[in-house]
Parts: sequence; C-alpha cells; structure tokens
Amino acid sequence: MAGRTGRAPHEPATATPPTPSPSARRDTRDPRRWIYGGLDVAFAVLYAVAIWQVIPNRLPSAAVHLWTIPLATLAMAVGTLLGTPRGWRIAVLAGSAVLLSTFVLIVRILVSAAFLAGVYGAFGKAAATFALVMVALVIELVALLPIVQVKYLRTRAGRRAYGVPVP
Amino acid sequence: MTRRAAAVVCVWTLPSLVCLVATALVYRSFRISPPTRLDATERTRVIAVLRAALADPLAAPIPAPDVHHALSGPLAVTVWANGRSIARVDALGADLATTAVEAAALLRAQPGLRALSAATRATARLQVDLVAGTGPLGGGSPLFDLLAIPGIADMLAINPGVEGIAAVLEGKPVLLLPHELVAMKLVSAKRPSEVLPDFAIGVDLPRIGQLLAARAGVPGTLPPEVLVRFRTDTFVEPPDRAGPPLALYRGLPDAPPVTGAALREAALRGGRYLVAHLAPSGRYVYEHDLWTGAATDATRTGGNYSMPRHAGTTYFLAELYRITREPWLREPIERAFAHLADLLAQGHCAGTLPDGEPFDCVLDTGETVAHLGSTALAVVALAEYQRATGDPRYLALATRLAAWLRYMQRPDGSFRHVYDVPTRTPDDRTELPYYSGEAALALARMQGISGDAGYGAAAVRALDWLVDWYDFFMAGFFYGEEHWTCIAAEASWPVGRRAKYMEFCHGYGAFLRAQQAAAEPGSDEADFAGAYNVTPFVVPYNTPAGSRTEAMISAYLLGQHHGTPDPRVAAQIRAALAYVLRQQLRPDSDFDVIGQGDGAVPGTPIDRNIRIDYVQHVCSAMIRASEWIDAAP
Repeated sequence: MAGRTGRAPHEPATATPPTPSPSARRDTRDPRRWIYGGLDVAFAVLYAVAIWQVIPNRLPSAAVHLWTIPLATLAMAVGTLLGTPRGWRIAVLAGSAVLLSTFVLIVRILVSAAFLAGVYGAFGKAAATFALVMVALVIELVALLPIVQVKYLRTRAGRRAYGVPVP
Repeated sequence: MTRRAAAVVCVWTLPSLVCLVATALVYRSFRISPPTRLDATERTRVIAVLRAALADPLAAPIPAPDVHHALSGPLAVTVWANGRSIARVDALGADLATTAVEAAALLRAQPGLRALSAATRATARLQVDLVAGTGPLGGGSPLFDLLAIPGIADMLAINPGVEGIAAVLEGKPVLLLPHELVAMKLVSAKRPSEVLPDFAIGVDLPRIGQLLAARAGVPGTLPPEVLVRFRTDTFVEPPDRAGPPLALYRGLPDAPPVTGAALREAALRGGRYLVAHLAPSGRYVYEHDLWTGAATDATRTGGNYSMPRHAGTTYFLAELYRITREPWLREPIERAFAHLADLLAQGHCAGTLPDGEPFDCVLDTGETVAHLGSTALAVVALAEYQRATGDPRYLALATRLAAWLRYMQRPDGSFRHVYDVPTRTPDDRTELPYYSGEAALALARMQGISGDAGYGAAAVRALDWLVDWYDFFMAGFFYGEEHWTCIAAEASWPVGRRAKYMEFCHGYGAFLRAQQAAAEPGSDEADFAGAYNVTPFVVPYNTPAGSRTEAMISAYLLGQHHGTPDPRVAAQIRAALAYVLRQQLRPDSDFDVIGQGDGAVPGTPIDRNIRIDYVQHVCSAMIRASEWIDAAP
C-alpha cells in the first residue's frame, strides 16, 4: 500500500519531488488494481447474499439503505477493474458513497440507541456492548475496504495506475 | 492552517461530532427522568383527602392537605373494588394540594361511587398516579424519524408498565395510565417474528388513539402525532389502610427483605394459591387470568392440560409439605396424586421389557409417542410423595416407570428421548432439551426412596454423560438449559460424589449470572434486578428466575457438600429471590386482580395471567432456599 508520501513500493527511494504532469501515463505494473477489484467483487457478492438471505428487511427505507452498500461496492469494483481515468473517478465516487452509507448506518445505530436509552433509561451493559460491537463490525466489515482503497486511489501511485494526472 | 491540515482535522473530528450531537439531541428529546417521589407522609395526606370523598361523598370536603408541590401534569385517581377499576378521575392543577382537593370533588360527583355500599367503599383501594414528566413518542422527533433504524419506534415505543400515553385536547388532558395500557394488552400488540409466534411486543397506537378519543368524547381516533408518553409517581392504599400508601413501580410495591421466614411464608402463600385452584377431582385450574377473572375449567378433561406440569406442581406441593409439615397440605396432595395416578393409568403405555420386567410410561391422551421427560417428572413427583409422607403406596408405580427410564438409557449414560408406543420402539435420533437431566433426577430420587443402588449408578452414568459432553474447546462459555442437570447432581449426593459436578454447576451459575440483571438503584429498570434477561428492552419472564434458582440452590448445596460453597452463587440466588418475592401477588399487590390471586406468580411483571407451573418453580425455589438462606454469606 502506498506510504504517506504516496510512494509505491516499487518506486525508487530517490524519486524526485512530484511535478504536475499534463498527460499522465498509465502504470500497468501496479497489481493493486486487480487486488482491490477482486476484493470489491467478493465483498459486493458477500453483502448482497447477507442482505438477501441473512438479514432481509421488509421495511423499504432500511432495505434501500442496506442495498446501497453492495451496489456501490460493485460500482467500485467496476471502476477499479476498468483501469481508466473514468474508472478511477467511478471507483473514488463509489468508494466515497460506501463510506457515506456506512457513516449514515452508524449514525442510525447511535440514534436508535439514544432513543432506547431515553425511553428505557439504563441501557445495560449487554445492550451497550452490542451496539458498540455492531458499530465496530460495520466499520470492520464495510468501511475498512473503501477507506484503504480510496486512500490508495488518491495517492500518486494510484493515479498513475489509472493514467490520472498527478497534482 | 493549510487546506490539507484543515481537511485532516475535519476528517478526524466531524464524524465524531455529528454522532455525538445526534445522540445527545435524540436522548434529550425522548428522556423522561424517573420522578421524584412523594414520601410516605405526603402520600398519606393526598390519600386522606381522596379517602374522605370516597368514604362519604355527601360529607363536607376536608381542607387542602399540606403538600404543596408544583405538578408537571394531571393527578389521576383510580378506585379499585374486588379487583376491578370502578372509577377513574383526572384532575389538573398547578399545585398538588389544590389538585388533590379537585380530584376529591370529582370523586364525589361520580354517581357510581355514591351507589356503592358503605362496606364496598371501605374495602375499595385508591390508587393515585401523579404525572411527573412527558416526552414524545417515536414520530414526534424529526431527527429521530429521519435517521432511526426502522421499526424501533414501533416495537419499543414506551417502557411498558412504567409509561402511559396521553393527549391534550382543547387544554384538557386525556390519559391512558401505565397499568391500563398493560391490562388492555396494548403494549404487546405486535408479533415481529414468525419463528417466535408467542413473542409479542410493540404498542397498538391506532387502538390507543381510539380509546383516548372515546375518553375525550371525540369521534374517530387520535393520530399518533398528538400523543405523548408520560411517567407517573404511583401509589395505592394498603389493605385495610394499615399504614401509609404503598409506592408502586410497574404496578408493584416493594418486596419484603429476603429472609428464611419471608421465603417460607411466600412459598406457603403459593401453596395456598395452588390448593385454592385444585378442583375436587384433583385437577388444577390450569390457567387463571387475574385481570379478567377468566380461568380454565378444571371440571373439563382434555384441552391443553399438561400432565408433566400437573406432576411438577404436585411435586412442589409434596416438597412444601415435606419441609413445612403444614397439615392443610396433606389432603390436597393426596387428591392431586390420585388424579396423577388416574392420568397415568389412562395412558395405556404399560408393558413388559425384553427381560420380563414390567414397565409403564407416561402417555398423554391421544398421543402415540411417549416422552422421556414426562415419565421422569412423574417419577420425581411420586418419589417426592414418599419422601414427604413416608407412604410407599406409589412405589410400585414409580418402579415400573423407572424401569422404562432405565430401558431408555444407553450404555454410555445418555438417553433415548422418545418412544413409539404402538411399535414399542425407542427413537435413537430425536433429542429434546431437559429430558436427560429430568431422567437423571428421577433415577437419583428412586435410589433415595428404594435404596436400590442400581438407580444411583444409572443416575451417575447419566450425569457423567451430561457433564462430560461439555469437554470441548470454549466449553464453559456456552451452556444449554442445564438446570435439571444440577438439581440431579445434588440429588445424587453422596452416591455421585464427584467434584466435576460441582465445578460444572458453578460454571453454569457463572454463565447464568452474565444474564442476570444487576441492581442499579434509581435506574428505570431497577425492578428487574435479579431476573434473568438478555435485554432491558423486553420485560423478563418470571419462571426462569424460579427454575434457574432451583438449579442454583442445588449448585450451592453441592458446594456445601464438597466444603467449598460458592458465595457468588449464594448472592445470585438471593438476588433472584428478591426479584420473585416482589413479583408474587400478596395482599399489598393484589388490589387489581379478580379472584383468588394471593400467592400467585404471574408470567411477567406486566402480566396477571397465572399458569400452575409459574407458581411451582418460583415457590419451590423459595421453600428450598428458606432452609439455609439466613446462614449463607
């Protein structure tokens, strides 16, 4: 993964400071496009199966919200695997959408927990722990991939892999 | 600060800030703090004004009491007579003293009360509900409505038994008090799970809107947007007005302290309830809804009458007799056991084993399959009869039933759980909860009453299998329903003198303690302390507090036998008993029940439906604990 300077592991340590390049050339040697693309497909399928089979929800607003996650993850996969500047934009936007959806999901959990604490008073260790575990699981299972992937896409290495001009 | 630095700061702080603000706003919007309660003197003064109005509606009003408190809402008065709410008035004012006088005036104006006899007015009990705070229902907060997980506001809208629902129409409040909502079953109106069809939760807001509209004299229904939740400081007159009014929470007054004497008295109270619900035929009134007075007809056979529950309840009465020697228990026990023997004979399950030994098994009417647990519980009950009375009249029957139990046991100690009677074939595949532990207990009891070491050996083989089953990675973190195992382990002492039984039961106790509500004085759910429950958002069932305590008593006694009683188990038992002592209906708390309710143990804190086994499990725990609780740490 790219370091803080956006330097890819295969770049020489003595790389000169970046200069804006008017017409970026694609770095087709970077394997991360395929790794992230594969992970995106796998997670999109996993999310879809989970929402469809494991946690089906009859309430439309909840169903719509939940389905944004596999759909945006799938869009992220398509953009990532396209490998073009347009794909880069799709992947970044879709990854941001997953993150936004995840954040809203966390806010929904917290708002619901606040309601229950308001009505029932002492939330109880079990319920509080359960809510925190839910939030932690959502971050781990849903947010982690788009966080690192969008971070990668916005590094110089990520931009070069897609032929996106480096600022 | 550079643009990048600002972005980094925002990324690391804004999400947390949004979460914090949203949480705080929603919590503040919905929170109704528990009320500051009136003290005994203040309660007495308020009730005195109302009692004067009830005692003699035509007498001159007495002056306003010296209880000047600013009120947050109306003062509601309910008059209970013979378990029924015969009058309700709501008074609105700024000061408690003047509002109490206003409520008394409204009571005087009730034509129904004037028509009551003096005796009825004297025994009627007054309940006061002071509205102490209000809050919105889900649907009344835009932020919550936009963001909350769908269904939360419907399923968990109010704290049942603690909160009521009101509307204000043209400046006049209309109330459905907390006890009215639960009595009308308006807080358990939805069944969200097809897997758990008996699990009911959720408020019936359309029906509540209709009821409130009817009370306000408005046609149609009230929309949810105009409804609010409220909490009350509630108190009721004690029986015969002996002492200050009793503060209620979730409809119940405080319980007596957990002492051996209090537990013994409570268990006997439960015994009296059961005896009062025993028909001349020896059959129990299986269920009694004390809110409506509807009860199962004990003169009719069939229906959903459970023979294992008949056996279990009769076992408890025999146990109560063995420990207390109360003479009034003896005849009802004889009657109930005679009926049990009749029921067993009607099963036509008897036969001869391959080795020629006669056997019998319990078969419910119309069934073709005999269940191990039913026969095991029958043996436990019959053995308890002999333990209690010394009379061996049922020993032969118990021996035949125990022969079948031993036939159903495999060489490794495990049991077949189901037996096809027409083909005389045990089912080697079906496994059901409880049965193996129940069978182990039956065999241990048979050793006790017959002295036949074969039973003891069979019980130990069964217990070894049950306990050793937990020899796997992560064992100790997960347990099934093992309360019968621990009861059997203690019953097998001293034959089953094995430290692993004690260690297993102490481990099971630790597992159960993790599900036991802790005592947090002042919290909204403090009355659940000691109950076994997995979430504070659903009221606990009372029966597990009894049945698991029965098991924990055995676990504690096992520790005593081995010289290492676990004080944590003793504390666990004490907490559960404090919970069930409060749940049991007694003269203090039976003001709102129709019929003989003294000694009954309802299914939940917000229910008044009684089934015989609810009383059995709770009162069995009480009487067993009464023997040693005063000496425990």
